[in-house]
Amino acid sequence: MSAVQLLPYSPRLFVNREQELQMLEERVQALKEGRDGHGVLILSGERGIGKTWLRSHFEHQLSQERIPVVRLDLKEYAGKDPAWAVADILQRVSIETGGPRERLGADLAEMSRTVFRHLQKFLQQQPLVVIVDHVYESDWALLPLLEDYLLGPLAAERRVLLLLTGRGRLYPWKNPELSTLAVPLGKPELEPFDPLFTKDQLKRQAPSQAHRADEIYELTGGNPLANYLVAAYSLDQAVEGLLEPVPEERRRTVREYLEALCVLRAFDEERIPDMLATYYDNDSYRQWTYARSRRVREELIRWGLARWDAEQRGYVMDRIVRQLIERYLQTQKPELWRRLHQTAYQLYQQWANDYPATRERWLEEAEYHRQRLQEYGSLPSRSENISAADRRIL
Amino acid sequence: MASSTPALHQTPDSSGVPEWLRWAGFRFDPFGPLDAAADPHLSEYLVGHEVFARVWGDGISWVFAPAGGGKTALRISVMQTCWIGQETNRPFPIPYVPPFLAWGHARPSEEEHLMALTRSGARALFLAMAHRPHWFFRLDVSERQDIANLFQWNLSGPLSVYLNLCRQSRQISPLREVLDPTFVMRDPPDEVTLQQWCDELESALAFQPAPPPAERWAHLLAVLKMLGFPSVYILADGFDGAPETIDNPMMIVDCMRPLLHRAEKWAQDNVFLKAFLPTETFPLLAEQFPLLLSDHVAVIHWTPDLLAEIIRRRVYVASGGNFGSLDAVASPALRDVETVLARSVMPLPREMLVLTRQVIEEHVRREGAEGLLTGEDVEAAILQYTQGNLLLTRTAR
Amino acid sequence: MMRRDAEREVSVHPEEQASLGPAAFLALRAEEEPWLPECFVPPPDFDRISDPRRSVVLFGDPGSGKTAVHRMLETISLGTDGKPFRLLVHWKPALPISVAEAGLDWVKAMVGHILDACADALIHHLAGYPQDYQKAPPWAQARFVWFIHRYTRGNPMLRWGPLVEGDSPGAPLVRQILSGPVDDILYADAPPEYVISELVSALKALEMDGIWILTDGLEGWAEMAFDRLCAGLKAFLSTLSLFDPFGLIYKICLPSELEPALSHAGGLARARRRVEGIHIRWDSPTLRRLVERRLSLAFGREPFPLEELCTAAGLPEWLEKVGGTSPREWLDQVAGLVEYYTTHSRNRPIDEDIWKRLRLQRPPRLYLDDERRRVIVGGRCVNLEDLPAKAYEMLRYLYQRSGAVVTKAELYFRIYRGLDRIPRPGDKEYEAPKEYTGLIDTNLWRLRQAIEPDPSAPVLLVTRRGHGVVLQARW
Repeated sequence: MSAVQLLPYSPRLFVNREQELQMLEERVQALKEGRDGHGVLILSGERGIGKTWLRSHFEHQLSQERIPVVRLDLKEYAGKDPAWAVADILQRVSIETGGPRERLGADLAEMSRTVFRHLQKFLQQQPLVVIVDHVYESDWALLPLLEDYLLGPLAAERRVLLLLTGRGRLYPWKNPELSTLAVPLGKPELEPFDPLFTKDQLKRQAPSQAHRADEIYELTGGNPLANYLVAAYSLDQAVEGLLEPVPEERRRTVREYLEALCVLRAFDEERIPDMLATYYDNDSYRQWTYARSRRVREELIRWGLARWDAEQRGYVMDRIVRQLIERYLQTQKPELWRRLHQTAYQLYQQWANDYPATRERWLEEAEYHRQRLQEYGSLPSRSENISAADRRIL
Repeated sequence: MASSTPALHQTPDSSGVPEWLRWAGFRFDPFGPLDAAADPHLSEYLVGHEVFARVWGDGISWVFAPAGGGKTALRISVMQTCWIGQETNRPFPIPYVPPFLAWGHARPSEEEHLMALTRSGARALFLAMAHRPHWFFRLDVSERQDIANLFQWNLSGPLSVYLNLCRQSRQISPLREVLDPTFVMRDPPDEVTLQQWCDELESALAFQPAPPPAERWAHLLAVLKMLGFPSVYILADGFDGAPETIDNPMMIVDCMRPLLHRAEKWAQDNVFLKAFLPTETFPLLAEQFPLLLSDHVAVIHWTPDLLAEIIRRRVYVASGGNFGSLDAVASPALRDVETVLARSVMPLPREMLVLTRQVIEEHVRREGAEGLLTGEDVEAAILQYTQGNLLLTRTAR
Repeated sequence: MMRRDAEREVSVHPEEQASLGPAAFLALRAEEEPWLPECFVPPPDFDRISDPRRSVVLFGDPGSGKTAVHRMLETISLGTDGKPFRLLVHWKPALPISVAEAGLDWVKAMVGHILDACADALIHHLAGYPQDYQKAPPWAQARFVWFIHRYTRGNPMLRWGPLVEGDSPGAPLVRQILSGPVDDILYADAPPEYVISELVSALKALEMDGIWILTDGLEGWAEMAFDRLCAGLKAFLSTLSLFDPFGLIYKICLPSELEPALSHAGGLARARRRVEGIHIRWDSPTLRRLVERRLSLAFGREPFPLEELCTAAGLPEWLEKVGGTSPREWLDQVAGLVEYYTTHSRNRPIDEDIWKRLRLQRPPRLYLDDERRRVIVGGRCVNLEDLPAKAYEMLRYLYQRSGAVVTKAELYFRIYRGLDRIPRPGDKEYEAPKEYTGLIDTNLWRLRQAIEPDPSAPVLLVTRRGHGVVLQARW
């Protein structure tokens, strides 16, 4: 068990998100009045950005307005058989809306038909809000079934508001209501707090540390969970708190991978072995096969700690996770931090030499690491410096 | 049945490409099916969301694209979207490709159009209902009779022929093969339900003489309304599929004219024409039917960025969202693979797929079914592609 | 790789292989080579050409192996037991009466012909494999009967009489089909693609995967009625993709001169790619493999490397130069060696000297295309537009007298001076040889540079010392 305790949602501790709440409120009013309030809203953003709190706050408001809500957390179905999971979800939807409790049908299609027959009647009386949590972290074997038998048909209903929350890989839904016509809450994701809201948050959640708001904001960039963790715990523990979604038995290893890779702006299977070799001070990692490196990359993606980034043309770590881990290394293990940057610098220099077609790109990366080392007084040795000619290219 | 084992070409793809794709972390081959209808992931690949958004929804809409520019893919995608779910709460799609070969000419009258539309709608409804017999089972006797008559009058052959095919083959796939091989609907019924549907549908048949075309069309619309479909989409495509129309936009407009005169009236009854046409017809239609084209017009123009996005999207879907570019499986010597390829092809989606697949084939040919893509693979593929292109575009003598 | 599979599968096991000897190199025409499947080497694009689900128009130059590929498309449609696993239909379009006539109406008529050809192929197939029909489900049987009755042009009984009369095992079935009751599967006005889909679905019940329409042999029409043929094909190709989804696949072989006219048009236009257009192409390694496989067939030895036929180091390069990308020309060049190998060298490899002598005896084939001012030498096409006019005229003069010795005086006085006879000393027009020999030699040098595979060792434009030159043109 982690020593870190995450703060549970409480309405009085909630700050900010007026715009998003207003949008939700408008939809709900329209639903209540039978106007065009139906549709699909998407709530996504980095780890700790406040999705759960916003969702909880929304649920709190709905309960005050007595609007029926069905909330499904797909995390509960991780590792389960997708067909079984969808059957269970259909059953829950049926039960929570006062429909049949059992014998919905012999297969998913029949179960879905039964649930929707019931929902048609239910919706004639009242609107319905369905919240689905951890959508994008879910198995892609589950989502198509869920789409076909529940979410797709729900999205076509005129008195249903569907809120999908999650982080990570956006799923390519087939239904236009779930993809092209869905509306994001945020721009397009939920954004971190500004310094004022950070201060406001700390005043409510960690009043003794409110005076450090600016310092904390500088470190967290306004990520609400990170704001709280950094205020309430040590940096080491704050990182642990951010890694809470990773099962405990894997958390240590995953954290080591993240520490090894955090200095990179982007990584891939080609870069993983060198960074691990430096991190563990063990050259045998350099012999890792592509497949072995891929397992590391896949694990980081699975826990939503990394994703492909079109701009960087590589995998990038979750922003806040990377920021805190790198700061942790820099302050707690400075020599390791320096060696990791040095390794990255050398690797990119090597690539710039070896691959003329992409030379500029790798020089740019090398220059980034050189500057990072320079900022902290750890310049690479002269022989490793970027040549004057290459500096001109940059 | 005596087995006749094919000596060759039994394996669908022995190029080594599937093995490489597996090695690289793809769940399926996203570059294989060039034929949109054959691609089960079509709706997941949608690029250019704004175009789909203009087509989807209650209203007359227009998609103009160059030949090979993805009109049919979009049309099929809309059709597949209509068929999602178990109920009749989505629009009913009528895929309408003019039956030029049956007509033997390209200047159809309104009556010919209506007849072809009705046949196409009946075909679609028959297939859909075979997949969703519960739509039929919940009807009363007269409603069932309406449906049975609709099929008897408007399918290409007697209803009993199709029902016998279903009964004897005990499955739905032969029906799909003869009526519309591009038809995709999940969850076909089990054998017993299918048999029950065949029997009950046949017993509902009253053998009344077929009314004239305009009445048959009205009858189809009434049946769809009775089944609960909120609207009907006429997905008109393939108007350039005749020698007279293939390079003649004016002829296409003439061919469509009877439909266009009806479009506004249809829209009032929730029947929406959605036309997928060659770009060259746009100015002609805009001039002759300005009111019809005042809204919901999408002109697809394939830029290199959009073409690159096609591949990135397919990579993303096929890798299970793990990565969104071939860069992830390319050597550090190669970056922005999609843009490099997009600049080397004719600006059409299918060409982009052809070239991308060629890159992988070149890689497999040179280095086997493992390993990162290299600059040499890309260069060799572009060379191959360009050579093939030159051979087929030599100037006329 | 599929291509490799095609080679391997059709190869004959060494110990079973009966040697054909030089006969394997005699005809060099696919239609006259029953053993072709045993030595076929597919061109690099064969996978695309033979894609079971896609119609293809295959363009090729003479000698590029179109017909061989076409025959192989048939071969690969046979199961290990020799039974076709798709319906193979041979069909040639009729020519439209005029270019203007090539519209939908004409295409509709052609589709009628195709359905008739399908009925023909179907009844022959069923007559050949009556037990398959008997095992087919009733719905499929009903469709076969219906299709044969409805889409056979003319009276089916008269048309298929010979099949009924014979005592083959299929005769009773054919009788039963032709005289039995016919169910109406589709109404008469059903679009043809739905007619096809009914037939294909029934074929699938016989474990057949669809229908291939094979078209070849349009070279004659391309020469006689180029425009009408093009117009007809353009019209046809614009509608052809209608059938692909229903399982009717076309494999059409066309002479490459039609390619420019068709490649921008209709369904073949690259922008549309409704139908795949492929220009048959060969590379040197594949052509070498093709030669060696045929050597194996000729001599019953697998493998049979080229070096075992002839040790001359220059032979591979010579074959590339002379044969170009034409299988026929590669094989033609090797044919002379094979003959010698069999009759004179007693299966010992031919050495360099003999090879050089033999290539003089069997120079590459040469054809002067005066209209386009180019010459075809073996598998190469040499453009002569840059050749000086008089040098070209000399070539034309020599070509008209192929095989005959022409003196330099004749070339000079006829070509340069435009005389109709060669003047003698003392005549007014006479000039001494030293006045023109240099000029003629220069032009002969230019001609050799242009047309000879190896200008330093001419085999086409050969000097007969003391007599003149001779153009060894063979076609």
